[in-house]
Amino acid sequence: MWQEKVLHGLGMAAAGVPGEGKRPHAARPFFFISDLHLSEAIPRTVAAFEHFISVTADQADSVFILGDLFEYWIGDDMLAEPFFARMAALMHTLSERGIALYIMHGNRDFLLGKRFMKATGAIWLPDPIAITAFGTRIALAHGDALCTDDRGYQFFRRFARNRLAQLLFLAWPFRWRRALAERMRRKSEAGRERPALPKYDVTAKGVATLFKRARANAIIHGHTHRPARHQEPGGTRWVLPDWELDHGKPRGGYLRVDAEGFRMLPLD
Amino acid sequence: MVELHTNHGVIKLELNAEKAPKTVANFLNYVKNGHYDGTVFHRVIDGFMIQGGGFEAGMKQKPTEAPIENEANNGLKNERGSIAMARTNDPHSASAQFFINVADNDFLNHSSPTPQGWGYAVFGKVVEGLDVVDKIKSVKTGSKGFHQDVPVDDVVIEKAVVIE
Repeated sequence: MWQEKVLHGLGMAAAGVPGEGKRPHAARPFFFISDLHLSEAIPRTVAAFEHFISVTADQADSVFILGDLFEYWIGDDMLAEPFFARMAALMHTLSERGIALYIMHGNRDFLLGKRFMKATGAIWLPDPIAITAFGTRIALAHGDALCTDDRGYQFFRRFARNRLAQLLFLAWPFRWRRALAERMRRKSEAGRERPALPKYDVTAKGVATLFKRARANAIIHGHTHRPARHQEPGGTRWVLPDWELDHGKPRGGYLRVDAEGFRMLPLD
Repeated sequence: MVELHTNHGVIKLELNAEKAPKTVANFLNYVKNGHYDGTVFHRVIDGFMIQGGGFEAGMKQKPTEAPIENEANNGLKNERGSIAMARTNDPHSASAQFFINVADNDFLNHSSPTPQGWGYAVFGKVVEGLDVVDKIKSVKTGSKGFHQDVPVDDVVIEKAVVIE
């Protein structure tokens, strides 16, 4: 059910958050990103991520990736591929620089496992989770679980998050898993041409429930690719932008949270 | 004018080349090439819209030509009986797939030149055969492969023809 834990990242421990502000003056900002959908097929988006991690993140206390960092993830043996090894090594530089990295699963990369967390120096975050940062209690979620009207998807989600189903899948040979993932990706792209009904956005019910259970006055999530700041009955809801610099008009950005508040910022 | 001859009857469309010149030219090009002949309405949601023009029966996707500029900022509204271009998240990605609104779908209209606000480009309306559209919107649907809202029995555009 409701999950919550006190975070002890390198950066956070230094700043004394989120332990209800023990040393509030030491506070460098938290950066939040999501929905990068990284793969070798989108080199400009990958380059933007490399810049973000190696340059932009320097100012941060902690970096939170709230799901869908990768286009898909079919098991930590993907780390054997040079591209993913490079991405993992890049993220590992954060902890070496004293910046904490937190990673939450998205609906595409929910199989990111312990080996991946170790290779990146990241701490895995359950979805949803509440943290306290700069005096504000914030619920973090990927966002897919908030789209409660999409019954078909929620059914798939429950199956996909089933540990036994996951273990069976992970026992498949790598090339079978890759073939299935590629097939699903192609199919989902093929089916993506549409006008979408608003029901595929988060619902008022899903949002209200999260505010209540997390006892939070802010929510940060991604998933919907509709970046915005919404004033909800329970508080403020920040929707992170997806990143896409290879097709169409470049999109991307991050949310910065510090003592001065929340700010949505474009990529450098 | 264009007629879509479906296995449920004929839908007659009046295209608005004045308000949506590029979209209309693109649509007519596909009609004249015979692209739509044998395609299906593959996504049917009662109370929303019926979408077609991209798949053959059996959910086989057809190759298309280059995507076009989104003309959703032309003032035409996604109201019941209007026809508009389907597209991906990228506003300027429409190629062959179109949809016919079966309700007033204000949230699909252009509101701002941003990825969220671009909306869907209306380029014409049904002038005859709205009863055919209503028959199609009510067919039984299910999931096929990874696609949802696919008619259980194929709704086929047997041919699309230009009427002078």
